[in-house]
Amino acid sequence: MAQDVKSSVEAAPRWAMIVDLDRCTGCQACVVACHAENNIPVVNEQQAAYGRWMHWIIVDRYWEGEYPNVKARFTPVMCQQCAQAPCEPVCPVFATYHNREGLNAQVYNRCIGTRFCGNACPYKVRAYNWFEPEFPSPLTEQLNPDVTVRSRGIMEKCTFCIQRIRRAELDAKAQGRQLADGEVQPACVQTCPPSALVFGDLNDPNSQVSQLARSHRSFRLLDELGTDPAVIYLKGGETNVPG
Amino acid sequence: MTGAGVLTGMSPTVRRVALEPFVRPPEEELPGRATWYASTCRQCPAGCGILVRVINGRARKIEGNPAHPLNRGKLCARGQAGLQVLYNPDRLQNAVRQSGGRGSRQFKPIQWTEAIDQLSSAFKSLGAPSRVAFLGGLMSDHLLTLVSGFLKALGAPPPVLFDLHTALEGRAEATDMARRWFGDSQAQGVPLPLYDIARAQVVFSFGANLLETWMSPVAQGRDYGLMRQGQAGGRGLLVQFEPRLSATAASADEWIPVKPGTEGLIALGLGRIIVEDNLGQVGSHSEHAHLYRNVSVTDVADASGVSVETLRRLANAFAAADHSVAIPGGYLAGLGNGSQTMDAVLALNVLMRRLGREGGVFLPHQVPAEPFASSASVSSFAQVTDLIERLKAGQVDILLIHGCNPLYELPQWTGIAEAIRRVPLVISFSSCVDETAVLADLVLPDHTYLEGWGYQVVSPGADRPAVSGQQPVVRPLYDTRATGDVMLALAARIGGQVAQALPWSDEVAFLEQNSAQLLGTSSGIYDAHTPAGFWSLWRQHGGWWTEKPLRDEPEAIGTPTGPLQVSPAVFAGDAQQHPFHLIPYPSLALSDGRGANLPWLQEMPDPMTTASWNTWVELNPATARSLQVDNNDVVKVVSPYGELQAPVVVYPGIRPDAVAIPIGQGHRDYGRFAQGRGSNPLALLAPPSEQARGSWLPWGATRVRIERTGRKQELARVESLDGAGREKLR
Amino acid sequence: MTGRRSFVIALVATALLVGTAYWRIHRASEVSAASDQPIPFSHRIHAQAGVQCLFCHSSALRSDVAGIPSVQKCMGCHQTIAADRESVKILADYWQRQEPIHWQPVNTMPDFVFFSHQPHLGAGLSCETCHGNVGQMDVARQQTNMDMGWCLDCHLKQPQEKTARLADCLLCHK
Repeated sequence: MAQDVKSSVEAAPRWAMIVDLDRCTGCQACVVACHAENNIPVVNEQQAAYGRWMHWIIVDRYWEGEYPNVKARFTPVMCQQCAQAPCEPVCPVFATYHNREGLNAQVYNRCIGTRFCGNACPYKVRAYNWFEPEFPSPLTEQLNPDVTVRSRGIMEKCTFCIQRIRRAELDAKAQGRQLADGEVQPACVQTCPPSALVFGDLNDPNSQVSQLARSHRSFRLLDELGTDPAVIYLKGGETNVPG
Repeated sequence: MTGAGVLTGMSPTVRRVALEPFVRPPEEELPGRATWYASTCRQCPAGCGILVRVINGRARKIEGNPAHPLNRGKLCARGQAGLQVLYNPDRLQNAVRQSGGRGSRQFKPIQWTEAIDQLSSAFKSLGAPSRVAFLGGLMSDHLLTLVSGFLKALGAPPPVLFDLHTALEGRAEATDMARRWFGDSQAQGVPLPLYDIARAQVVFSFGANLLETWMSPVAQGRDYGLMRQGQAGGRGLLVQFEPRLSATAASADEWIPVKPGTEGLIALGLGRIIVEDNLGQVGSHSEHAHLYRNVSVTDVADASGVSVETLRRLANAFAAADHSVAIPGGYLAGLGNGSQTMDAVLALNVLMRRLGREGGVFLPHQVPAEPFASSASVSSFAQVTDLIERLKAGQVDILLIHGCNPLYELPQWTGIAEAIRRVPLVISFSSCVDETAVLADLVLPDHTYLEGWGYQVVSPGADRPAVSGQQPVVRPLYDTRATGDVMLALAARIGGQVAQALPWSDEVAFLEQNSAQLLGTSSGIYDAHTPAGFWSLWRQHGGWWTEKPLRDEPEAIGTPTGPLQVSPAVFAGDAQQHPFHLIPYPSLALSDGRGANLPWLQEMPDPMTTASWNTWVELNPATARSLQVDNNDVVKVVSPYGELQAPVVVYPGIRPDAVAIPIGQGHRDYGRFAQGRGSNPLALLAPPSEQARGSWLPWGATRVRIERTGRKQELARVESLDGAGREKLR
Repeated sequence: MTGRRSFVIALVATALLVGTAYWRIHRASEVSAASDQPIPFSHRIHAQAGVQCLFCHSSALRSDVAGIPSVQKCMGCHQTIAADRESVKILADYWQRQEPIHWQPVNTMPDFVFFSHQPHLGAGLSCETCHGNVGQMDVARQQTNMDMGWCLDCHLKQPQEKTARLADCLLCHK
């Protein structure tokens, strides 16, 4: 049946994200949208000062040069969903593994909180729940029912909004059609005002991410480590249009 | 049993909850699936369209409305945090009376009928209609119309509109500038100019933090993305002129560290070079040459610290582009020579004939219906000072305050606290107990914007006339009441002319009637046969706008006939005692302090310092070295008027003679997430000179000195201070 | 302390531990007794009257959750039908007060599992397959502990190409 075609292994999408550094303005809309979508707890000042904030996406700010010839640059960083992820082999209970769609999966109910994965990650994008997350009533009403609310002792990180991917797949299947390019948008991608973030299927050569991935501006973070990330960055300061 | 639970690491896997179905299910709801409602974000004056994901009567996520012409589906951090305005744990749940007396912070709930009773008898026993005052801040246009109508019918003075956010973005000054240059298009006045950033090849921004909090940051952010990578044939150039490298400057190609107060001179210098060297391909500059008659480029270079070479290079870049635009920003409004500076910047657009041309300057086209002919224009600071004088002189018996927090947002020397205390009856419509509500007798909380009705004319506009509609996405959580409904109920009780002027039973009837005035306009995205049908489509779409882009071409009928000039800016505090310029800036997360009660915004890292939850002082690395302070050292910042203490952030992107402090913290009230953290830099602002006192809010015109305290305070930062590459900044 | 004594203590402690753990896990499948529900609702009576499952639990076909009928839906019939019965009088009280009825959940899953009714009904499953013969229950009870093993029992019987997806935990655990 046409509906079953998508469920075979060969036809699985390979999810990827493009981050256009020439468009990112550091506005942090992605950071707050991610909090809202994924039930990320707020840890308050003291714990944040210890570095125990839980952001799944952060915007690194780099300074270049010295006054007065000083520049600042923004680099949004989230879980790179590495195809050769260093965090996967170190988990003693297989709570994190690589799925067929190219995502690095984090299964909350398997996690026992050894934190080996956070240690192994070279991008340091994994966040650990040191304390029980608190949502003083009625802030519990803001919680997204499609995303598990994690408790103390569980590691979490960006999932490329797997709940949105699943929801879109379910709806598409119910309507008997395939997913269109751009139909699935993680929260950060959806809200980004300059459209610096693009999400899609690398297995589709005509998708926007595939086209942008072929840009001469493209590069990946810490490529030399061999992690094979699924997040592709586009260098800032140059036009995409050749010549 | 708890012990065993901990040992085995088990937690209850089934929560004890009850399933409560609807009593009467709304037609459009499917349990477990979301319904999306179109409304308008009210976290800043821009008025972006939003779609709110509602599941079983609870709002779960806010997204931008893809069809809305201003933000086109995108939304900023503050817009995303809007859910926490609705579900804030510190919201007032009833109308309350401050039972322990003003300042006691003891509130007792009262019935709305009782509140309206008390208000109407107070109104009826007014000595004269002029003894009423309404101080408003960020207010929906519909509410402003109702309140203005109410006061006018009563014979009372019109509402005074002031809030710190609009002051910091220089909205009043920008409106004045537009009026000066482009005249009044109709009796209601000229709306704010539109800068077509998306199609500009060169953008010169003079203190406009257009990617952060100024005007419509989402639309501008979107335009920025297009300017960079969305134009065929090249990537746009952004140059930012300001003393502190803001997050907007971080996205710029070049940051010119301007000496505070000389921004206008630089604009004049650029114009002079363009005229002298006959740059650009727009024909002769003889028509505008007189504007730059008295400008000496070398004098400009000396005064501003920007070399003649650099000025030449920039002038050439600006003139060579087919599409270039110069933007006068909000920061300029805090300076003594603000309006002259804004004129000098706008003049560059006039000189290069960018008015009404792609990538240049436009005026929004008016919405073709009387209620939406123009958006609220904020009061001048002089009008605010007038109000404070009237309050102090005991000329006001009833003061109503909505959408602003003057006790926090105005410096103490304005005398606002003393002024409010003189008024016998003070009513606040705030949702939370903020600093101003603490001085109120009654707090009659308005619905939060996700629970309320309204409309907002988008200003500064999008590329077409637009009215953004607001509707409740959930039923009001508590026993709050729409301020519009309170005013209507009051009008009915007062009777006479006031009741006649406001004949609607509730504000929804008012909104339906107003929206129906657009019925039959062929240019809109929809039309209907009946007002009821139109109202239904209005709510579905989230407002009304035209199908096609439609902007007006400004005509510079107000071009000065004589030379432009920019007087030197005056700063409070002498240069010896107070060697640093103080730059208080609106925080991206908290804006003017209104976001401080939302935990998501408190935890959101500042883009430039990555710090959160507190106030800090940004010092140039050389300055920090000379003061022998480093990151997290607490310093005392002292102005001629006040002082505060905060930890240092060593900040490469600021002039050595300037220090910057974000606005937003330092709340005494306003809820558990806001109160008792950080400091309010407005406490440092010195009053302007005697003759200028009261005419403008000099938030960028104070000098300070820095003193070591020897203490340390660790700021919560996302970046690690121990990382590699930090040595350079020490 | 002798070795034997400490052995006994260790044994008792372990037994306590295991017992508590067992008890806590299996509390998950504790049934909701009739006294737990605010109104003693009988599925048997309604099924015999000819009411289909989807009439009340109407969102099962299109949504993740099956839904509980609103008070308005109940009153649709019970304004007149069986209005003299005790239970119906309690229902009418709720309607009069415009209050929702706080039903106790019967069929539950832990909150880290995402189950959607829609694809299961879309695949042609009947309600009884998972919920048992509810039409003959006077008191609704969860028929089986709906744990992962039980779900897999059925899913692994599917054709090969459909089970391939099950290797991905993210299918149900998000």
